[in-house]
This record gives sequence, C-alpha cells and structure tokens, in this order.
Amino acid sequence: MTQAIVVSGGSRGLGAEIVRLCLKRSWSVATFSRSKTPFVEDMLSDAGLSDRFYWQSIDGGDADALKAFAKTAHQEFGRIDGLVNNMGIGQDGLLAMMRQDEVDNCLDVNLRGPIALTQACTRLMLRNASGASVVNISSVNAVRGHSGVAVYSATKAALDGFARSLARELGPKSIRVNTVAPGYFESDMVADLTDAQRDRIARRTPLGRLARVEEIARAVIFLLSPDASFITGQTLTVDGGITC
Amino acid sequence: MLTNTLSKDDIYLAIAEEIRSLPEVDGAVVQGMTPNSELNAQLGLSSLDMAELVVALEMRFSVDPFSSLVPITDVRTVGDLIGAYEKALLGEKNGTEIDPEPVNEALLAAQQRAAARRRR
Repeated sequence: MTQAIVVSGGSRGLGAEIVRLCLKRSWSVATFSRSKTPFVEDMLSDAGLSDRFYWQSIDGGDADALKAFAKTAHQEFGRIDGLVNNMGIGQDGLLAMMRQDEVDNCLDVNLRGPIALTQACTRLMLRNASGASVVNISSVNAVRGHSGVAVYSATKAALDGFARSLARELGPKSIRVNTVAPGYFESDMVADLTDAQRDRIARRTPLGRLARVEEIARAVIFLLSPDASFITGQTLTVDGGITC
Repeated sequence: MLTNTLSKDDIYLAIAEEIRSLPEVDGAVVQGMTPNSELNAQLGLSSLDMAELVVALEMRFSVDPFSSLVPITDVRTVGDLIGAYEKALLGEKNGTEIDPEPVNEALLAAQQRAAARRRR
C-alpha cells in the first residue's frame, strides 16, 4: 500500500537516505530543511516524483512553522501515515563552556521541534482508519555517556522517553511510536573525526566498522512499514554492537 | 476578518455528526444524545476519542478552541463542547467577528495541487 511519510530534515545525510528509500518503495514524502541541497534539487526536478515529493524551507526550531508544515503535508497527500523525526543538530563542547544560545538552539531543534511536529502529525493521524507509525531518530549517546555531548545526549534521551509514553497514548488508535538509536555512521556528524578516532570506534565495535547510512535508514523503513505492525514503544539500536 | 454565517444549530449538528462518526462510539447510545449528555460517562468517549473529535472539528471549522481559548478540562457535556465552539466561532456574543488564523500560503498551494490532481 502506498503511504505518505513526513521526514524532518530530509535534505542530506540520513534524512535524505530515508527519503530516497521511501520514494523507492513508491511512498510519498513531505520533507523540509532550512535550505535546498543538490539532493532536494534532484528530487524536485524529477518529473516522475512531482506528485510524490514535497519540500519546503523551514527552520527546525520554529514550532509554529512545523505545525503549519504538517497541515500542508496532510493537504498535499490527503493523509499522513508516517513521521520520521530525523532533524537534529550536534552540539559539541564541554557544558561548562557552552553558551546559553547554543544550549537553547540544541533543545529547540532536537527536542521542542520534534515534539511540536509530532503533536501536529499525530493529531492528523488519529483520523486514519489504518493506523500510522512514528519513528524518532535518537542516538547511542542517549544510552551511553560520552564527554562533550551532554546537551545533545539529553535531547536524544528525552526523545526516547517521549516515544515510550506516546506509544502508550496512541496504541489504542493503532499508531505505533518507536525510536532508532544509530551508532556511528558515515555522515557529516563524523566527518571531523581523525583517522585515529575512527579506528578506535571501529575497534570498539563488534562488527569492526562504522555503519553505512543506508544501514540505519533501512531500520527506519522497517519500523515505518507494516512489517513492524506489532512493534511499538521500542528503541532499536543500530550500532554494530558498540553498546552491547 | 472572518464573518460568521454559522448558527448555534449548525455547530450542534456538526458536533453531533462528528460524534456519531467516531469509530469506537456505540451508535445506539449516541442515538439519544442531547446537549446534557456527558461525553465520557454517558456517551463513552475516551480522552483519545475526544482528541480525534477535536481534530475532526478543526478540519471542519478551521479552529481549535482548546489550543488557547478554552481548557479541555472544562468540557464534560455535549453542551460544554458546543459552548467552546460557539466561543471560538461566534465570539462571546453571537455575530461578533473573530480573527482568523494567518494565511498559510504553502497550505493554499497544496490545496490547489491536490484539487488539480483530483481533476486529472
């Protein structure tokens, strides 16, 4: 069955890969980012996707704009079957040295934004006869401590708790809510790591390497799909075993 | 500004229709619904059913009185619900004008594209 999926931050990295896999399955996708990327340009210029791909420029920290986006996506496709809360920013640095505006920005984009978008989308999902699925992108930082990412970890752990309670709230309407917690994968977020740091991560990982982005995205697609029809309130850690 | 053409009866009929269309609601119980009927105790609406009802009414009226105007905890009966929508749609006194939501140009464009797709 074709589905309409909202993906936050679907212009690059993991978000773009999730969008690509959704479109490959003939699902429709509404996504947003602050600015257009070559990936978004490609999707928008593909005539075959004109009825199945919608993009808008939105600041992920603007809760009102996110709520309006959910309504637009619903209008565009007539329904919302899935939401992927993918958007997020990494905020590195010792908490003692972090500026308040950096803390606020991280909380806005990684937590307040996803909550606002989820509220708007799940309200509309309540009208679906066939249920729906929400997938939050968390992080292994939500379950293991790492120096220099305290605020980022706080937002991701908060998303985990948000998903578990929301799963209980929305279960009676057949709306599933799950979380994918990726480990280290090839993306902009690890681009600054030195070779020595990458080697250390690979050594600590039972599978001996960083993940490819599609390996994370496939877990998200699984949780969106009817293949995961009896899974809700769970965190699926996709980390090559680094936290086991 | 939005000039209202809705009457109190229109609001009641719309609310009754949406309550009847809720999938989990017992049709026989709803049949005898009056403004005094208690939404939870008599009609059997759960809090999640209430949320679904509010969304349905927002789609119909383009307004959600519970987002800021009225606490949802004040709503116990069908009449309370009607009162909340009267307040949002008709103002404190019938006939006053209410500021509409700001125009969402992206939403209007999406509506036009959806209409064009339906025509194809």
